[in-house]
Amino acid sequence: MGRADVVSTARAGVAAAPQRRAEEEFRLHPLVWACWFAAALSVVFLTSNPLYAALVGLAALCQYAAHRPDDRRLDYVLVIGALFAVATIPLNLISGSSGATQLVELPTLTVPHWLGGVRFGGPVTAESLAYAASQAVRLSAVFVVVWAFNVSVDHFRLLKYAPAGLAQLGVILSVGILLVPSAIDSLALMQEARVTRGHRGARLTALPALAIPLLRESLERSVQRAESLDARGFGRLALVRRPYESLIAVGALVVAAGGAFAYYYAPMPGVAALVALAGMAMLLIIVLGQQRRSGAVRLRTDRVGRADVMVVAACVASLAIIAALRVTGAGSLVFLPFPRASVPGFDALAALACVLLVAPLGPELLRRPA
Amino acid sequence: MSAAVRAEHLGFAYGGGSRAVFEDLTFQIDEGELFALIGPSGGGKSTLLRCMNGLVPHFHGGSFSGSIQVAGIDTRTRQPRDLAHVAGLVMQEPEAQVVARTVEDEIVFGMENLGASRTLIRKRLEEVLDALNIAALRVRELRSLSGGELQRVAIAAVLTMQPRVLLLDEPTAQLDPQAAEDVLNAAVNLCSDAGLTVVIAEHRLERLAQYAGRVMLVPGDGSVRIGAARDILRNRNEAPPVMRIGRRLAWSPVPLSVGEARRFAGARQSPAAPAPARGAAGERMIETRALEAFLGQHHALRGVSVALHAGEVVAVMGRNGAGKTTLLRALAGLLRPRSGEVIRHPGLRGGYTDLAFVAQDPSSLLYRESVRDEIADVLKGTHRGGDVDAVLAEWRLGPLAATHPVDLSVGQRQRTAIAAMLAGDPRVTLLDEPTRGMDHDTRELLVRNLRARRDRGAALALATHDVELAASVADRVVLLAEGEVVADGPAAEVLSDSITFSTQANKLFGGRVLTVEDAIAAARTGRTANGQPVTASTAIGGAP
Repeated sequence: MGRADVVSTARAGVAAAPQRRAEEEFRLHPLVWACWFAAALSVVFLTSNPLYAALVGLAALCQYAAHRPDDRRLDYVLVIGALFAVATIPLNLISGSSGATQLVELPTLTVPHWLGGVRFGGPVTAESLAYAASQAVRLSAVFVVVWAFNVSVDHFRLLKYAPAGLAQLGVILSVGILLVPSAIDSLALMQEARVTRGHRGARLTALPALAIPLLRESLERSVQRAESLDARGFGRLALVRRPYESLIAVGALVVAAGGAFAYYYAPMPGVAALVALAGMAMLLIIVLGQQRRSGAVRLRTDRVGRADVMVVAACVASLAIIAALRVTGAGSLVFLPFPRASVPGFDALAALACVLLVAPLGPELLRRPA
Repeated sequence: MSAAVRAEHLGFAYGGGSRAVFEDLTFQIDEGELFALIGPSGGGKSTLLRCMNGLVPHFHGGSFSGSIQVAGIDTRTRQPRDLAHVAGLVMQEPEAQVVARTVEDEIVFGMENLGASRTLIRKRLEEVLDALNIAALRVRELRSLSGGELQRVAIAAVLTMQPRVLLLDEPTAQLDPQAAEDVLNAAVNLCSDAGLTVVIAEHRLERLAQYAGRVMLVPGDGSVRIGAARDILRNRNEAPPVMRIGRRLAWSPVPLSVGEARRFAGARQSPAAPAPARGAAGERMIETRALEAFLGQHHALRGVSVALHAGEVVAVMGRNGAGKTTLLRALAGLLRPRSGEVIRHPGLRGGYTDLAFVAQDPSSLLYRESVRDEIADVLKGTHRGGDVDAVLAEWRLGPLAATHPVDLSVGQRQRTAIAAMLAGDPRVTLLDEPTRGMDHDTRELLVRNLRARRDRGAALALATHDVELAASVADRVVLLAEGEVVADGPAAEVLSDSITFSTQANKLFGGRVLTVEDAIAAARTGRTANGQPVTASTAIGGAP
């Protein structure tokens, strides 16, 4: 029993067919997870209010707790993320403060003019502290959202939705996403090998010695996985490529990018927007055309159930509310503790929008009846 | 007959100025042929298979010369993914090639990409699940499978694609005898019924030899030899036991299978009588009492009580997923049992000073910069004391001492891992599937080494599917099924009353005959005046 058992994250046991049907009924469509991911990240980016970011983070944490496999090691990633976020606070503070309420005065270090002339240290203000802390909360929320998405979605099924024309991109992305979980697996095996070689001591002190082999091992595994995807025909085009297809695709990309650029900087934004949309439409046509010609079929299409529709509706509603509040300037979405520190505002509607992001838990609760 | 694979002046060397893997190779494999690649680890068998599906040179850099055509397509002109419908490769390490989350998704993935109809996919899925006897696994998550189960799923995933040329890299390396038989039967059927060409690189030839039409010997010096299985294997050490018996007893033609040998061997002995009690083994070094263990939800060990004594080799055998690895890991103290206990002899020092455990996947065991460093690291960590050079010499690793583990073949990594973990003569040694991917000479080396350690008073346990290995080295065999001990007794007894877990020599002669040497002795002493072998039972006169 190999690597798979050594990491011992088995939770399937010997599942019977009826059990599978029940599982699938409540399993969310992979694209629904992608939708949740996009909505949750957008909400965090649209608000600088740490209270709302914390709410989104909590919603994602619930998600994570519900979908996490029986593998405690996955929690470490969250702990590392939180530590990283906290570590940004002092970094923010020493790189310069402003605001009215001075707390302490740090010794100043000014980088020579020819290196940019940046000043480190100096006065630390309550305002800067509040701002740095709020940013740390947002960063942690992003971490939790990314990680919750990572453990919840079936990467492989999601990968199958990548259009054939973009399959290579899909492979690169999925190999990238899987790098962290596979590194965790490799680390566990290496730690075990280290222990059986008689090396005692705290796990953390071993990390530096294992870092390079770990990176090498996980990269090698990822390359082998890409090799395997390739050898089994993933992303092949059943028909020959049409002549000039790549050229037209690049042209469409240039048109789309040019239009988007002109939208912000040219005098006629309406025309520019149309040009950008035309470019994007052209790209879409090429990608969909390739998708048709790939000839790939799916034995089991992921069904779209009621739960999927409800979750998508909740995500769309959440994002729509936050976007609307952002445009109207209501809902205390913006938290700027300058010039004088303040308590972030709180609005029931905005908070509701954030809480809506726990929607994927609904089917999860139905799946595990008490 | 047209050629399925045609190589012309093929040459390849990996980048970085390394030695050529092969040079100026010209050969042809016919359609519908079952073609075997044999030779020592690191000889280039895997590289040759990768040439046939285009991963070399498209994925692996190096200098490639000449050409190789698969089903008429020059591999230089297509990407591997566009060759997937003509050449399907099952790689050596199943852990590295699975991509999906569940068994069914994994198996149908290739066919989906090839654009087969849904009906065909469904049909082939069911067929392959039955052929490889893995229907019970269909809804399992891949992470929960044992190594052998995973290997069968990986093979199934490529079998369903029914490519014109099927490339299997040591497909039975970690399968139990029955599963290995299933896999080979499936390959043979595809060959004869569907006209597929199958190319298999393999060290375990007991079953393969009789099916292989032709054999290519890849000795690793850049050259190759091709010929009929009988001709190539006749004088080779890696020939299956039945051929070696035939060679020694001058049977002609040399038999390739037990069936062929039957007419030379005469009647089988009756089943073995209970073995005489073995001379008292040494002290109990380590034992388990009523061990219960779970892997996730899976009940892996159910009330297992076994003991290891000083001066004995115990082989732990059983189907894939029977709990062999779990038992060894529990003995090694790497797994916390749900209940029951593991008791060490009070004389054993704690930690891993007196106890060595070699896990199944050698790649995960090696993390230093060179083979020498790996060995030195273990000697330092375990405080066992010992000399790196002596260990290198003991395992014939001298020429590889400065090599980075990444640049070793799978078989060489296995040897390095064993050499390193066993450095310094631990008193208790646990080996998980030690002969996986190991060539014949290394295997002999391992057998001699394990015997020597036993004679020095070490207690050794190995989990293995390799019946021939167990027969040649084990004193006692513990047979596990579904996490329970179903047999625990002298090797001669457990391995001789079994259909699945018995050696070729035993299948041929019955009784207590286990190894080639036993068989020779049985046949020689029983020879009648006119040179005809009598029944083996009269020969050794043991059984009633």
